[in-house]
Amino acid sequence: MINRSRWLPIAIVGFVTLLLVGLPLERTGNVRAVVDFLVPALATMAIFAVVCIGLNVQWGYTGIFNFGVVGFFLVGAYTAAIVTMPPADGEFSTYVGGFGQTLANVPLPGAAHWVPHLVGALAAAGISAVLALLLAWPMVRLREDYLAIALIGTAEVLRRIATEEQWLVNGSRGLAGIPRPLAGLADGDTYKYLFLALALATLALIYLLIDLGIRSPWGRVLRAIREDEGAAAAAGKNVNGFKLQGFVLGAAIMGAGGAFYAFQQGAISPETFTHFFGTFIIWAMLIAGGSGNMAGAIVGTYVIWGLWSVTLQLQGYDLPRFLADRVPHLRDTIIGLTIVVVLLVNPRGLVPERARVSRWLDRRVSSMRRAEKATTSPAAD
Amino acid sequence: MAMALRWGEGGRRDGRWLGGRVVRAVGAAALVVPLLAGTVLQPAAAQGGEPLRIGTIFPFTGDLSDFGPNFYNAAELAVSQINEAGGVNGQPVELLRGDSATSPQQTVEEARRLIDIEGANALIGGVASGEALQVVESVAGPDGVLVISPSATSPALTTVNDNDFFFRTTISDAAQGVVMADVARELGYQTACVLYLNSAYGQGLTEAFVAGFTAQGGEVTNQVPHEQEQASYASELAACTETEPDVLVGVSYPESAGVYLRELVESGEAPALLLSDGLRSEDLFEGLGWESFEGTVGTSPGSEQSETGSAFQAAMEETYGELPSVPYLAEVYDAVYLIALAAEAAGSNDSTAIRDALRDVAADGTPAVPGSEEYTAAVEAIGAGEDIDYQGASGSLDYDENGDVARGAIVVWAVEGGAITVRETRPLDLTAGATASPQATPSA
Repeated sequence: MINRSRWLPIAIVGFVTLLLVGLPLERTGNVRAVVDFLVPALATMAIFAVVCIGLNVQWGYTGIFNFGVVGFFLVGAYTAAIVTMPPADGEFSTYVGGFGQTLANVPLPGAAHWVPHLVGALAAAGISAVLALLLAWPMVRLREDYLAIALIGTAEVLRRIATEEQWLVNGSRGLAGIPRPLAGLADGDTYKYLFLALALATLALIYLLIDLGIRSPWGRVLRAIREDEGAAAAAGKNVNGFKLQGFVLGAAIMGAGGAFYAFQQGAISPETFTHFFGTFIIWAMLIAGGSGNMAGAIVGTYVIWGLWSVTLQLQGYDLPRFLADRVPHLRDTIIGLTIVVVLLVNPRGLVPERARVSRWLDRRVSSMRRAEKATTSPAAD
Repeated sequence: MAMALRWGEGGRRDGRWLGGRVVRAVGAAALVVPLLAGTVLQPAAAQGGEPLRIGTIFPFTGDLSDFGPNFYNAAELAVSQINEAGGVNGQPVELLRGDSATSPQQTVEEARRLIDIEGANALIGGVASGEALQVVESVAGPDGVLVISPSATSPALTTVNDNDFFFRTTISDAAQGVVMADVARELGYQTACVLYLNSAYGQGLTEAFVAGFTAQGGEVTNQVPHEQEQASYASELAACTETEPDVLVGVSYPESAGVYLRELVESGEAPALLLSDGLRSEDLFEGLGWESFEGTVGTSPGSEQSETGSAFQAAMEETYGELPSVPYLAEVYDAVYLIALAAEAAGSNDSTAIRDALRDVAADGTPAVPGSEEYTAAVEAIGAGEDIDYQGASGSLDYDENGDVARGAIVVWAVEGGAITVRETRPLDLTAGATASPQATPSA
């Protein structure tokens, strides 16, 4: 099993990279065009990776079956939008908030470029966390499948609110003109690199923070709860309290991902936030990548989103009409097939979680093994 | 453990492992790099000049999947006519296809792909308003690429941050709302109740109708929103009928209206009906029985029954065997012609140059209409330095400073003798703020 788990991720990641670079290159024969195309795609992946890490905190570490990812994603995106946008003009757009200009005038160096967005992203994470907290009180006690159903419902309610409540977030007309972070620091052509750097930096920051938390005793409790709630409770841990913390933290990360999505797109509307786009595909990423570790979440995002977007390029070829009409359906098949293959070959994902209690214990065990090996004869292997 | 040893030959597991991975990675790279290098070195199809490439992003999947293939056919028809006449700037036009999947996110991805990889000079797409909004904000505006939507008319799009790269070929639904109000008053209705689809389309059109109707002294007894595709609309209907309006105004799509119109007919106390463009569907009345709706009146935008429009419909029927019962086909068709003529007038396939010429070819000058021979004539006129005025299949298409259609027409239709007939066509001039509020969304 160990062998297979090693070559599969390398092969699949290599294959996706080959497609991502090779197909556009083959179409255009122009490296510049390929870079132009890939940079925004990578930024999108970084944003999805953030959301996927949020789900990983909930499912991968805490074992909470959140099937309403899109709800937190939506709340994050909308919160960031209404915080950073200028006040509504009232004619075609009505929404609460609109603190963009106020925040831009904060007496800090270059405030207009970053203060509204920093506040927006933090508010997105904060509101998502508050929402999670409110939901968690009644829901954390629900068993997995019931929780999933309740959260699907919640996500749907949030989507309906975004569609209906015109005074709140402009209803079905959506929000447009969301200002971009650090927009003044680069011109149109180079901005996409800046945004990619920003998205990757955010991903790295969240990765490090969560990694720190998960390797701490607190993280070990979360994983213990995931494995066996009863055992964790027997060890004197407040199971519901820890589950709540994992749920809220994951939701905050999803909200932050939503904020960056709003910044990248510049416009959001309720129809963007479908269950498929906001929940299913994130789950596909986490399952394919391997839940319970963040490298898995990131690799899964890369593979699934890479395949998802690269399939569209088949439309550029001169396919017969009946085939061309079916390309979009082919994508669903490819994603499904990838998940099936990964699960057959590596049931725990491309990058499986390593069973590790702590580094300290690893060192102890390996030193004990060494000592043991020194005493036994080499032929015994 | 045993399997782990397969790659190593002794007990030195860890070292061998790393070595094996590196060897395999290098091997993979050795395979991949020449492959890629080969494609890089391939000369890009170098001919006299690049052809004009028009990218389309239509919904082939998702909620609006009925529209995509038909829209693409309409665009293909225009391209084939243009290419028959010699193409644009001496080269045949290439039509590229993308699938929006009725999703704003995917519309943006497709836009990037069509622009960066397929080399599109202009895009037609953003069928629903949400799609258009996102593609304009994150691609058209920042990257400076011309985008024409055939069907999105959300008011947010008028003032969107587009650097003037966004245009539409459809006329506002608010204009339709105003005409609906006019028609209702002319038919002598004093009170009206609106039953509308709870979407940007229904909402926008209803707002315009209510404003127009009350301004003319009418009274709106109730405005009842309804959700899509439900099993029964009895309570929504009751909310309307119990106010006893002179006319029930239906602003919906056929699948919902099919249910509530049947319930209305079965109740036997149906008030007069006034229907929106979304219900201008022969299939709908075929299914419900024409005789129950004899004399029912409705409105629809942009389908001006001009000679050009009929010619387009005939050409569609001839090429594809039937005229699909989908709105906005003429708008798609016109978008292709506008881009082609503007590129011809600009003498360049550059997106900015096409944009700069777009308003000129759409207004004031020698009239030009679609069609293969007509296109040749228009190109000759451009060659002779004349200013042309494109008169499309969907209307005259003159643009204001926001890239919105400033002049168009609203059709008043009626159910008569087992068919939908056009009673009259009302031209509209929105240039002088003729209608109270601009657009609402057909949100197709």
